[in-house]
Amino acid sequence: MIVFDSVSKRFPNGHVGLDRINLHLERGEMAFLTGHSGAGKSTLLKLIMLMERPSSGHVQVGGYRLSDLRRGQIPALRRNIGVVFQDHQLLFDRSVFDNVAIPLMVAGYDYGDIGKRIRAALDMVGLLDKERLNPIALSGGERQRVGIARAMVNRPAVLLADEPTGNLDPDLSADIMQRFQHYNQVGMTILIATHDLDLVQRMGHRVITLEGGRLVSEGVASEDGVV
Amino acid sequence: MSRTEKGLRARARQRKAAVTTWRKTSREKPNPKPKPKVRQRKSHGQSISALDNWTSLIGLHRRVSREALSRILSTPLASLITVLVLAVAMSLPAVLSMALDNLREVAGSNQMTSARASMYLKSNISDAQALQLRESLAHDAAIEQATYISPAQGLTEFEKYSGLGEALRQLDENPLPGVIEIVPKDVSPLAVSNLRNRLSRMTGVDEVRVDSAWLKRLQSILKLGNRIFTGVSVLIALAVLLAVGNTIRLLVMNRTEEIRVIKLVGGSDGFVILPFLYSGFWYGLLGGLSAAVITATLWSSVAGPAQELASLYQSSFRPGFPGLAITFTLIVSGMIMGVGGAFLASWRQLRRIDP
Repeated sequence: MIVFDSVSKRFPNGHVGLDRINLHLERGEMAFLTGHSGAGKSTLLKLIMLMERPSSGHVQVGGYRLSDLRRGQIPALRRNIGVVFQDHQLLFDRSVFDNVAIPLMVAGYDYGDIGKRIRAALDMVGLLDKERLNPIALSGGERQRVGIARAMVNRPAVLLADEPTGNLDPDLSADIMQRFQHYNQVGMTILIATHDLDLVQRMGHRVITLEGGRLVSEGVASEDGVV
Repeated sequence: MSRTEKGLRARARQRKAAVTTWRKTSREKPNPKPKPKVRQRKSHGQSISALDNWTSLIGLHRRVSREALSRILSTPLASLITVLVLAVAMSLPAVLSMALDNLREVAGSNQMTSARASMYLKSNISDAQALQLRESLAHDAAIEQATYISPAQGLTEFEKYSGLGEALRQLDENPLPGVIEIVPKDVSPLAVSNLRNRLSRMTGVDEVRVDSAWLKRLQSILKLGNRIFTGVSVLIALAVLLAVGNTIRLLVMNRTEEIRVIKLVGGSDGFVILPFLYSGFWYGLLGGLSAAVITATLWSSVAGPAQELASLYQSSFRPGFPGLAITFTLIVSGMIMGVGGAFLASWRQLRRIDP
């Protein structure tokens, strides 16, 4: 589903974000991306949804080479990728409900038809009673959950999450991870960047570790650490 | 399968999918079965073809246009100023065009002195002879209408309009000659001039006067007016485009964050620009309507005096009300320029917001 073929990303200021990354994520796979902050986790996720372009190498998503996509095809790619942003990227000029509605709106759904899907997504993150509020009235953790609901609401083929449980208490984190796992079981490809190693080890999925922009280890996490 | 059937089925499936998710996410049943999920994947595939669905497209347009209008109404003062700028600018060519239309009507109308020839008869012609002459002229193929004004009639009229009655009464006899007023059928300058030559050779005719000089002047004024109108219209169109464009540019700047987020979740350039086009549409529509109101108001304040002026020229001319054509043109061109200005201002700017 996601293939990195010796991908490097150098930023204009000379900083090397990623250095010759080779990575293969199968369709329906769930993996964690770990590493210290600044190791290149966010950059890697941004390359998948074309928020950034690689300096060299190729990224493939769903069989498409991203460098071959025309400008007009980028929205279609993004509609198939749900993203939980580290900084939430919520809009404060509208309610929680309308924030979660955005991915459905851009996909051409009728506004009258989407209420149930949105409430289902909000129920999943436990914010059903806050749909009328403005996100500005929510706590950091609640905003994060709105972001998760928005990423999941149109059940994308690929889910990317950048520190999705960073602001959540352990119980809620586990619950959200359970939800991710359920969606993964029915075919959603999921890549989660996190440095919550405890959580990663409990889940027992593939772990990809970055360090200074290089891929240093890959394996399945277990109680004994990464194998 | 027809489009509507397809749409209905898709919607029903979506609804079903939403319901199953609902049940799954409820807390008593944390363990979902994969089967209904597979159905959800199908409904996801439907979501892309949903874009082709006309009803949802119309729904989108209706919603976006309503949102754009309520956004304009939510800042009444700023919006009013923009609309007034557009209205004042657009009423300028409208008023000019209305004035030109009326002038053209004056120039073309037979009632005015413009296309009228006055045949001054020799003083030795009696009333009876003059009436006979009028009769023969009335049957002339080139003449629409011939009216005899006897010296006595002429005197009363002169007294009435000039206010010099007292001075005239001092005279021993009526100094005015008899006049036959001729309205030619063909009012083109050449035909009028031919007619004049023919009439002036008739017996008993002293002089034939055609006031064609000012007719020619009026016509060249009209020609000039048309040029000015074209120039002003082009300038005003530019001004309207710029005014709408500037307003929309500020709107885009204020909503950069929203545009970024929409693009991040897969909004296309077309989806992003639509609200701004509708904002431009509403500004243009409101501006055009207000311009029509301004034009009508100006007309009503000018119509009375204009009619008075015309009656001094013995004309029953009445300035025409800015009709449906002008109103329609104002509104439609307002909408087109509004959308055009919005497009020009936002397209490049929106493409540059590239998350």
